[in-house]
Amino acid sequence: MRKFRHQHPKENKRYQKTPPPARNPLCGYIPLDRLRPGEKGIIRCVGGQGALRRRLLDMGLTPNTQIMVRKVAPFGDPMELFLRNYELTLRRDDARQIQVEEIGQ
Amino acid sequence: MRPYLNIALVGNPTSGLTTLFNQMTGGVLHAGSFSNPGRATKEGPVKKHRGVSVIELPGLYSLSYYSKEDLSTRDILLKDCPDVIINIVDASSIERNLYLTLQLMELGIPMVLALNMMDEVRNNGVTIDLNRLEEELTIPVVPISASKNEGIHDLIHSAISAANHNVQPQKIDFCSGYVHTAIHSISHLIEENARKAGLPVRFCSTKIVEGDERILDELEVPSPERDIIDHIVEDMEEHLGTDREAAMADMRYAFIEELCRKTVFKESGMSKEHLRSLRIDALLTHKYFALPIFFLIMFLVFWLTFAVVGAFLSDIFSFGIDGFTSWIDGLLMQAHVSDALHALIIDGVFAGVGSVLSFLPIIAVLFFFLSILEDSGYMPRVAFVMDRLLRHLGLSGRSIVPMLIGFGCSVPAIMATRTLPSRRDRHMTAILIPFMSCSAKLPIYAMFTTVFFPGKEAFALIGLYMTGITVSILTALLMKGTVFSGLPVPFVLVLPHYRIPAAKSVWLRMWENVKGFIRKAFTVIFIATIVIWLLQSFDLGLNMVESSNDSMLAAMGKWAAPFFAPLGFGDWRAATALITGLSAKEAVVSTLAVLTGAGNASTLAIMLKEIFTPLTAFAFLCFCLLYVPCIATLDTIRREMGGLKAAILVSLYQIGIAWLISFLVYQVGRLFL
Repeated sequence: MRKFRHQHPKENKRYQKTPPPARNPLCGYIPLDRLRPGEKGIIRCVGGQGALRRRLLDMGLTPNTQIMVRKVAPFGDPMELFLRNYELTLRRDDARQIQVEEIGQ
Repeated sequence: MRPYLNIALVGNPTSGLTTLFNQMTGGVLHAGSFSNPGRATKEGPVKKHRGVSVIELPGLYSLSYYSKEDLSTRDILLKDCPDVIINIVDASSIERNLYLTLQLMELGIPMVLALNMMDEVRNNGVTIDLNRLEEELTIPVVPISASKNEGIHDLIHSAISAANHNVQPQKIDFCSGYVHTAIHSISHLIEENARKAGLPVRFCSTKIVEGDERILDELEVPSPERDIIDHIVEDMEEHLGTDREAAMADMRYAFIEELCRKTVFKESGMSKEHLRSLRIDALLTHKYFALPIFFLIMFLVFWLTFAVVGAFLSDIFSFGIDGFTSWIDGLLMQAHVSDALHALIIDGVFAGVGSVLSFLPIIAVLFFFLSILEDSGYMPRVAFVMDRLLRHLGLSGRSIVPMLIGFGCSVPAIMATRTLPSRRDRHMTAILIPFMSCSAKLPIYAMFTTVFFPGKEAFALIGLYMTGITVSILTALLMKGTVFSGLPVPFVLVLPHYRIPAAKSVWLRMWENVKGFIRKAFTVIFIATIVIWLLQSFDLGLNMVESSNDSMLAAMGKWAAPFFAPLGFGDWRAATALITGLSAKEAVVSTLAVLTGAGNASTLAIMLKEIFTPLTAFAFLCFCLLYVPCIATLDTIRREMGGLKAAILVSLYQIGIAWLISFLVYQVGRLFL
């Protein structure tokens, strides 16, 4: 929960209202959308369901993959990610389904 | 002639599918021998190889089931069984691309890997051990550069020989441990069913492990066996500590990572193209500059299309058409053709088709710019930037470009919805586009605003455009909850590297659209103009009329007039103008001029003041803005939405909403004025 300190109070509140649905209770990591541009993480587990989850996995967002947040779109959403040597965009709502372990800059 | 050998071209979007297809066929298409999945697949004969045909499937990342249309793409591979698959792989992001490769290999169809963009990869000091890659994957690997036309010959030969010798990929085991056990146990269970259904066993069993229920149904697996399968999968999940979907994706990517470690050797971090893309993106998707730049680019495209190049070409073109018309006119005079036939040919066909054809240069130029934007890789960035705004309407960022084109002309705009990923988004966008006031309506606005709102034309115009946008937003909100309820396809979008568009592919894309437009001009529009001319020139007794006041069209106008009375313009001439406006919106002004007998603009202004008051004029303009744009648009909607029924429903909705808004404008306005 270290990240809360850096966050905009409004955003902070949003997360408290809707806690990330943890598919795997063992996951004690942070949701991907909480990383800021330039920050890196290692994917630990991928939540969500149905078509979304299949697509995330198919695009290579599999556990133990290193991922970096490249930037955030002008309106604050979606996010641009960098993984497996290519750029991918995800909406925040979808990125929230992915739990990552932060590994710093 | 039926082709004796069918090649299927499969790969990720933006991996160079269309470029390769164009190189193989020279851009020539022919009618498909595959079952049509209802989405953009293209089929054409391979150049210099008689009897060999190639089909380009829509780009996909995986054979997983996301939506019905992905399924239909998959079905082409499973059920139409092409003789050989060419899997095109973008060598610069090989990891993600090989994910699809591994799934394609399970299909038991001979396959060749086309490693695209090899020139780029080589320039960046990356070496790929092709022999090792071939050995590991057990399929032929051909390095190519589709945009530079390198290696295409080798690729075609390799594909034909793979098909002739029926060399199927030997290696289909990418897994180890528990996943391996699960896949094999299930393979044994379903082997018989798969043979009966004519589906590849290996592919079915991996999909079953992934949790694809459709395959189970298709194979008609009985329920006791389903229980065993569930048990096998649960066992696997328990041992791996993860679920079935993640286990399979992980297994494939683990294999690919290992493969890349053995075959791809990089000198340094990022490629030149990658760095260049990042630098361009620093500006084009910048927090503050992204939107102004986007609007600037769109403004430039419109300005160049409608004001500079397109308008110039359009003038030359219509000059040519006029010349041709008067030449034919002269010939007909000399040949002493009967008056009726003469009028039909000149006033009906030539005037009607000619006026539509004069849009051709504009459409060509617009598609030229759009092809450049699309091939350069800017479109996904637009989707990225605009997504947030459009999400409220239940759409994704990708819909913004077709909608903006709609301000120019609805026809190319609706054609551009083809690039959208899901049926739902395509249809919804196509329905919204006609509410973006197109440029053909400008003559009406110009005429009416100068007559009724002198000095306040700009306000009236802005009011009209805003009305259109508001109606489209309301329509989107309405449809989001009703007709198009359900989840949109997830917005997971790859941002490819920026590339300089290949002239050939831009040209072919433009030509394809122009061809479609010409075909339409000589079929639907041709018939429509003849019908309108007949209605305009004959009375109910089928006698040719002197003035169109007595024509069938006028009779229809008189009959329809009461329908418009609550809107304030129950005059039959207004109603008639609206009916002819169905052929093209420009016809509204010309019809009013003909019916009021006004010879020039100033007399027309006086005549209009007799028919309309400023309030009813505005109500009339609102109606023009919102009702069925033109037959060409309607026909495009019919084609893109797959049916006359959809097109009729859409036009009924448009007429309904136009009536309602005009009614409100007139009735509410009357209270205040």
